[in-house]
Amino acid sequence: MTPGILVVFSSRTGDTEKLALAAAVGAVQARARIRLRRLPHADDEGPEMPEALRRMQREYIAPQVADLDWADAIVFCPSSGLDQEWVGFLELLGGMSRKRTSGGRLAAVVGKDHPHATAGLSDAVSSFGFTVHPPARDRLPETSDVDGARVEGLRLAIRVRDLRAEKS
Amino acid sequence: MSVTLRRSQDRGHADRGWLDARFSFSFADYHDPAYMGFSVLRVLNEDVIAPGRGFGPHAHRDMEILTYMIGGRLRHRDSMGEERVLGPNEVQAMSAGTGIVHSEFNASETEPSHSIQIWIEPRSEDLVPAYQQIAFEPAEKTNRLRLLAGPETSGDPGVVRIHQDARVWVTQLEGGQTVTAVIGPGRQAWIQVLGGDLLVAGHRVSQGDGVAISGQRGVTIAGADHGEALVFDLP
Repeated sequence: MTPGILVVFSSRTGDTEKLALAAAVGAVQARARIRLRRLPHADDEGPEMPEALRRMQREYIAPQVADLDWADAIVFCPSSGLDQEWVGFLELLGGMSRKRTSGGRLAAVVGKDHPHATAGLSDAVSSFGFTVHPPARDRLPETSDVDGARVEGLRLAIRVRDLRAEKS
Repeated sequence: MSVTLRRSQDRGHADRGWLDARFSFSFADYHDPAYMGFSVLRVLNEDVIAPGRGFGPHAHRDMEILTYMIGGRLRHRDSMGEERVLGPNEVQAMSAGTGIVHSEFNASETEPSHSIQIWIEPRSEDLVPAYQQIAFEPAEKTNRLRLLAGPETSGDPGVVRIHQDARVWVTQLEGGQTVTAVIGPGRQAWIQVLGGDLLVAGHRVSQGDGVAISGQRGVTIAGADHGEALVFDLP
């Protein structure tokens, strides 16, 4: 069966959205199914909303429990800090992990220039029983963040497939 | 020789409130083993999308995807960085290849959009993803066949290129006017009526009807009442 990769991201300007899209493309390149979900932010409302934010509000829905159940693996793409939207989502994830094991499920954290957020997310999802897939060590310095995100999505989907093959 | 009608009302149907879709072939929750496609034509959907609504980001792989507007405008955005609005007398082609993520939304906040989406199986997998869009004058399809899409190996000018040995024309016929589409040896044709009434191979067909034709060297289409149709030449 085709692996299902859930990509969850936060973005207000569209920059992190590009990473999330790239990670999703990488997963599709590995012949996975994908779902893209954006975490809504408390500051999303207001008359002065930038067009990118307005568009993302229209185009994306927030992750649901059904998405977490569906996913074989999750790619997390934080924008800057672990803001309130992530706290709420991690509570949802933690609640699920208490009800059933997340053990064996894979995750990857893809971020740009905010190591605190990516490290914090890695720690949190590890504590919920996910195995956080380490980023590629052989990434070339000239690789763009977007292409790096694509590679992480690709690697994660391949790893899910490999694990399944090992089990069967 | 074989001429088979696929009447509009016999197509699959999905009503999601914001989306009213008709499926000539099996798609999503609609499944009919008798209609899994025709030659390399895998999907032929007619979508009416409510103002401001649309399909959020989703993925495609290994498919040639054409979109043609019957009315209104669609805003396309994809993982390659393309952001374009597609309107009447334009055609969009997306080669999904190794993988693409895109969204499609009605570009109007007040009027519904009405479009045809076509999926054609590519000649091979793992192609490089690509996006194309062309526009043409309405006169180019009036009482004649206007080629919209052709194989990437052909020299057809002013068309979108697809990675398959297939061609797609559009025609809009006034009453009494006729066009004849040539069908090569061993090839097949599909006619999809976009609006109005037409006579195809002697059969009167209306908006949403499809006609499958095999074993013929050509098909004559006659205008009956402001008819518009897509004509597919397929291997």
